[in-house]
Amino acid sequence: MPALKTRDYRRHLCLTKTLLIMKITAMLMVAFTFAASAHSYSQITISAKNKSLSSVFKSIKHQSGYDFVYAVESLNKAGNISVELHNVGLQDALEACLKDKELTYTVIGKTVVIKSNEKITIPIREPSLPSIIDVQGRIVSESGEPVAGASVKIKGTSLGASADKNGLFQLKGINEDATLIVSGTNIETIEVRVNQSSLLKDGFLTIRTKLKVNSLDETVVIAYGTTTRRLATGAISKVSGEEIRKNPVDNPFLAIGDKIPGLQVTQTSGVAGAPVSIFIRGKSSLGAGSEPLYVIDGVPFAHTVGSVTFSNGISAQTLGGLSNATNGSSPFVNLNPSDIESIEVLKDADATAIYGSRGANGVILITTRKAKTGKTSLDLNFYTGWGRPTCLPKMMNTQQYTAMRREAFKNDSIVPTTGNASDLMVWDTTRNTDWEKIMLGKTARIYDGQVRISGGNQQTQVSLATGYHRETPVYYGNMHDDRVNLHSNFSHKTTDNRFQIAFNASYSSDKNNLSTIDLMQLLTSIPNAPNPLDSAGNLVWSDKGINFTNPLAYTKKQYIGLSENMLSSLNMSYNIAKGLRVKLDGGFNIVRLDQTATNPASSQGSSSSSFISSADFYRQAQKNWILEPQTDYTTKLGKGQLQVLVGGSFQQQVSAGDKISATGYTNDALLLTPGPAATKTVTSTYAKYRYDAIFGRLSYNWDTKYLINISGRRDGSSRFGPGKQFGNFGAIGAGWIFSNENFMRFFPALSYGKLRASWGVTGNDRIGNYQYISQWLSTSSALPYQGSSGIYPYNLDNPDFAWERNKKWEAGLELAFFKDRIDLTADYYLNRTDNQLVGLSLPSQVGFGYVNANRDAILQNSGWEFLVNTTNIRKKDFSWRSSFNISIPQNKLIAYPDLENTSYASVWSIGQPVTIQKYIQYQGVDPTTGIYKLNGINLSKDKIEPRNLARTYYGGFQNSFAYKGFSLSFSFYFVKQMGKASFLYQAPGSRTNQPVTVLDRWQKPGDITDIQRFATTGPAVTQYSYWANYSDAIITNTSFIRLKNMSLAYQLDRSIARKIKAENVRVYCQGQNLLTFTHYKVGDPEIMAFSTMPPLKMITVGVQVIF
Amino acid sequence: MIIPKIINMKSTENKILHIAGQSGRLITAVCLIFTISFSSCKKFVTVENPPTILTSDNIFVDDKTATAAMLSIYIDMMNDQYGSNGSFVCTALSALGGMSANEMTWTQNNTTAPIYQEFTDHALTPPNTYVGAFWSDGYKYIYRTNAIISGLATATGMTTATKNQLAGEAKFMRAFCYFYLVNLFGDVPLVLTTDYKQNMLMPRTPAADVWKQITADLKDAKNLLSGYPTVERLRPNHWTAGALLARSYLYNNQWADAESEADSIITFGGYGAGLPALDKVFLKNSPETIWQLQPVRANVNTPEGSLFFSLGSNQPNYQLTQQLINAFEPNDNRKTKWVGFSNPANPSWAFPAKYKAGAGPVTEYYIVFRLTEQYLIRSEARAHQGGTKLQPALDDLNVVRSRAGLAASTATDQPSLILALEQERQVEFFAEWGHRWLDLKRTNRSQAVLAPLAPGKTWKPGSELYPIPDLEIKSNPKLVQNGAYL
Repeated sequence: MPALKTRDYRRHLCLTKTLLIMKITAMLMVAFTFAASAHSYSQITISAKNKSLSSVFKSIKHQSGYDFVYAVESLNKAGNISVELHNVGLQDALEACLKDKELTYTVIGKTVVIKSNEKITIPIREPSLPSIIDVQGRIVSESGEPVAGASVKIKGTSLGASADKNGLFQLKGINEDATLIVSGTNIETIEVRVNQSSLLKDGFLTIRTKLKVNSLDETVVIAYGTTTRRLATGAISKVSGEEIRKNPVDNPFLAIGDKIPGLQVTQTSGVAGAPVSIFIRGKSSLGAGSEPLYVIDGVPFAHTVGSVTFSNGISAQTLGGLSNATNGSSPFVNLNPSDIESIEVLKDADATAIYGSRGANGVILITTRKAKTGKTSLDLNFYTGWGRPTCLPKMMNTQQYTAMRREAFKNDSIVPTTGNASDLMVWDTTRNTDWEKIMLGKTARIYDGQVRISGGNQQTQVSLATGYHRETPVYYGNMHDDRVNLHSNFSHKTTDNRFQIAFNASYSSDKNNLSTIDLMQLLTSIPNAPNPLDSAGNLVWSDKGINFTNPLAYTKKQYIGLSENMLSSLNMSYNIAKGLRVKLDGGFNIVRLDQTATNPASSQGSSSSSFISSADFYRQAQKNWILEPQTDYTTKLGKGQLQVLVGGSFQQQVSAGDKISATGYTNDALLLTPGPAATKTVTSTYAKYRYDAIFGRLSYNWDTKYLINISGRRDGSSRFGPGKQFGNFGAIGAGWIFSNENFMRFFPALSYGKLRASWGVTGNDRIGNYQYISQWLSTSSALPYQGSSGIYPYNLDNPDFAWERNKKWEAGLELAFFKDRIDLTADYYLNRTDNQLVGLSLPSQVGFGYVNANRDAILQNSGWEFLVNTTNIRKKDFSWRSSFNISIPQNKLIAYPDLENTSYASVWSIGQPVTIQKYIQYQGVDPTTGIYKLNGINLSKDKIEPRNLARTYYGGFQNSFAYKGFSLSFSFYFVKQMGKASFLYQAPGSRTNQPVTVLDRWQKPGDITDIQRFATTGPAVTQYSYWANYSDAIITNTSFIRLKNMSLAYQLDRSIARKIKAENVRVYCQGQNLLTFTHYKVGDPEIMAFSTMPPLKMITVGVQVIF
Repeated sequence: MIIPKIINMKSTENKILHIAGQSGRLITAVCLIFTISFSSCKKFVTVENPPTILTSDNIFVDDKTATAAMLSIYIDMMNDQYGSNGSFVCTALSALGGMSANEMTWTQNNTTAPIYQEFTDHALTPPNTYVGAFWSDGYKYIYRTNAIISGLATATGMTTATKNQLAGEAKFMRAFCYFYLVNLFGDVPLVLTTDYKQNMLMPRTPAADVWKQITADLKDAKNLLSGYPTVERLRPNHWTAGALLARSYLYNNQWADAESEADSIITFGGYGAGLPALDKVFLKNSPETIWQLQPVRANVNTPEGSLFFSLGSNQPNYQLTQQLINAFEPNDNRKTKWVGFSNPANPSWAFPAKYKAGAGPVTEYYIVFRLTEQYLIRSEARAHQGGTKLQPALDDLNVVRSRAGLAASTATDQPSLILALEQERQVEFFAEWGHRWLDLKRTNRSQAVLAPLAPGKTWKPGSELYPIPDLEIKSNPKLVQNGAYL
């Protein structure tokens, strides 16, 4: 340690304060650090004659890549040297240079610290005066990565230094026992004593800091760039990959619905791979698609292979031409949760307008994990789990069922005969089959294994990950859903940092052989039906001459759904001049789907001669490329920073597919290919979608106080006819970080405060391709008609429709208190969609069900969103953090010219939400007749009771605790809503099994109940049909609170982990959908349908080892 | 304090100048890029038509393509699955009309059972999807006929003969669709163009006007059509239009017109001097066929053959009612030739067996019009005219009876002859195109015959019409529901 001699010290004392400041300022470490060089391992060759040591070090640095840290004074004092070295190692070179000098060296990491060799003369110091020392050091994060730009202050003075981008700093002439205050935007402020021996090693101070937990300064991905929560002007929410991975789910979106305000995620089925419906801030379009735009690593994800609308009115993007147990599969099951770095949800105009005509429904940015600088790490993670449906309806047994049937016939005054009641009169009424146990009795299993290798140096980073995921359903039979995935990432930059290149590629393949139908649909099989299998194990099709639709028929049918997804992106950038950069982002994406569904004769009935084996094949490939040249310029302007971005976007999506229906196989063994079939029908689909745009963005940040962001885009889409293709979109957003104002010093509790607002226009082109062209298609019959095929009009064309416009207003307030321990975000938004692109429902009399057209209708979505994060306890060994969010959406139809003369007259009303449905008023069960009373059954007149089926509010509540190596977190998800009760469309009493809840039926005059009398036919059945389809009796409170996720993990003590040479060993146990609190009676409140598999309650255990 | 401020401002100024200098170059470059890209932008988003389609201006340009447009109707009528998007053809009228007329019942328990039950019970609800399919499919074909009629008007590059043939077929098909719509639903919107803006809010047109259009279209079709344009009788000809015209006159009690139309078909002679044997009637190329459709589905003959005909000894899915079985007179050969019994132990397990071929080579075509009906039309038209025409009416009836192996009718006067004809039509046309359902309605006999047979007393005045599908009223607020369903 270069301690100063006593006389120097005394001289110092003589200096005036001003001088001292000047001196320290002058001496503040001139950090002679240079950008690391590429020649890290090369040999050193020096030929120096009477050169200064510093110039020689410079040369060594260039050749070796090592940084040098030294006091200028001591080097000057050492004088010049002459050395002649040829291809020697670093150590030899340093030895040679410092020979005969009063200097020694230490190599710490990639830094060479030069210090004076002078004998440390312990100064006879006066008690009041501590010794003065120089300090060199580096600020690093907990994981050892350098923290750039942190400031180091000497406590009690105004003196200090700031660390360079490698975290290096130097302070000269400070008191030995001085306390340093280390602070920075992204680290927690800490105080360290300089002479704390544990930090000081060979005169070099390594200060470990904690990265801030409040996430205010965490990087947030936005359109064409990144920002931080602190500096963002738009409404952006982020969920990290780590949070997602706490949930053992195959679809990452199932893990974020409870965490992001304004994001409405609905699971459509509990079967693996089921589609998930996603809306951001409500349904913004009356007719066009309302799903957000998905962008993965900058490449818009081509995922719209199909769209399915479910019984409860929600729609979801799906893959699939053939139906299976889940109504198609979600394209996102091909997105491996463990490859995700983060998911950002962009909600307001400021954040989304740069996506122009596709930003109206919000944008979801998915960023995959990138390789990191540092030691090569190997991350192994395995888990396995067990699951059962959250709830299954309890069905009647034979005794209850036959009693119901007899009572129904009695009520109808009909005598059961072998003709009208073969189940009672012909079949055995004592045998009992529990279909639920047979078909849905298994425990679902989940297996997941992931391996990841990542590492690199300053220039080049590489990562490679691969994994396998398998889920099996609760269904009877051997079914599974498997996914294999591969993800790689490579990035490189030149030593001068001017050119950067990054390449991402991932491939994933998902294959499932789940049944073609959801077996929940078969639960209504009657309990005294014959045994489904005979003694030889064959399916039984009739009993005593009465046909039996065997529920196990599905075991003979095969479904194979294979989907593959290849995503790749290339990003290149070059710094032309300081702050000026040109970039080229490109991406390529293929989604392929290959489905096979067989229908062998043996699955259709016993008399095989009348049944034909057939199979359907559906193959589709979507190829999508995008090219986005961009230029950005960043400069300091005044007290602020200005960023300008201009760019263009060119995109093409081609989708081509064939559906082959093949019939007439000679043998069922040949069913898996279309070739051997006698006749084949092929239906082809083809669509090309092209899209281009120019866009620009200007953002200015004045002194981290005033932020402004202006973006604009002009883009064109091939989905519109000539003259309608182009549209202009843009937004302006502004933020005021008032906590950085001087007057806020008087409110020390408030550590951060920002007001932001934005306004802008985005668009929506979510309609099918070619809708403006009149299309005539070929008929698709197996046999031609007299040798010819037909051609028929396929659509009603409308060449005049154009963009749907969505105007968005947004105001947000962000606050943080007590050193960011509590942070709060409140948002209000108001979106108005006009020029509505409506798939206008038409009566069949015009020949088609709909036509695409723009309407002057205005739809408004507004709402409040709140998010609170708190750090309740933060102790050395124990911490407790909570997060709560709630969204209160509102939807209103503001205007719809001439509504009463449209097909929506009976559906919508001005001033009301469009999520309203109208119902006949239900008036209870008539105590004298036992039949449902309805206020009329004229559907056009009597449907007058409006019921809003949208969510009133929803949100999540998360808590996480950490105690030493343990961490526990749990997350609740709550939804307040009205929805449809799950019930059957067949009246109780008919030849269909029913849930036991119908036993509360009306039995005799005077009974007061909510379930009408059992009936097999007649007015009671008709009334039941109106009741079940059109009355408000079926609208019920479907609110629920669900313990969506619970995760308990234990991280082994490092010393134990080291024994197996591991960096980190973690064992964990996770649970999904563990508890549900609801008033909902039969079935699951999230699914709201009788015959759809409810979500699974899943418990997993796993281990993660990082080397 | 002042000095640093000045310096600051200066540096800001310099910065601005610097930026201006830099952005000058930048702007030039950007402008250049944009000018180039702008012109290519438009080109880029103009995509060519997909290879899977033709556009409307490429249809009526030659005989072959235009004919394919017409064929699409016949193909889809035979290809569409009844229930999901089935039309009058493909079993829908035979099965559902049969259930409404108490000819047959559905015996299986499945999710469609309640929908079938509504037909049997005369308790149809406006949301019944099978009723909805009748409506929507009728109008689907009507749209195509309208598109063809207007397309032919401006056609280029087509021969006059084909133009006339197709125009005749299109008008015939339009009348055919309206015939069933007006019979099933009563007043229906009379849509004669393809302009959705004009048609989307059209209210129901009075049935009389629809009938006027039907007869006008059929007269036009008769004029435009001549012989069958191809071998076999798979596309309507002059006589097909006449057959539907005869039927339409009969339905409107225009007895003399009905008689003369039917008479001209019978006396034309092209469909045989008499009636063929019972087991020949439903074979392809049966001599009495006036128009039949060719099956187009894989490994299926007619949908009736595969759905109604029951193999094995189980209870048939579509079971004929005891009431129908009892309607056959002793020794009626139609009971032995056209009715199947699946299990001798259960004599009630009867099913329609007119069409017998299921999978395998195509031996049966789907009969739409056959000569027998013209005999019965002429007979009924003559019976109603009474007087000297009663005997020829009885002769016509006996032609049909004798083919079935029955003795001459015992009817002696006009009322008994008319009832005998009703009975004859029941056993002749059961499970065929919903004949009985429409017959009982046109003769105002539905309530008298069917109401007592309905279980649970669900028959209401007006039940002889199906409800306007709920979805249609929802999409077109100008449509008014039929009385029995209010």
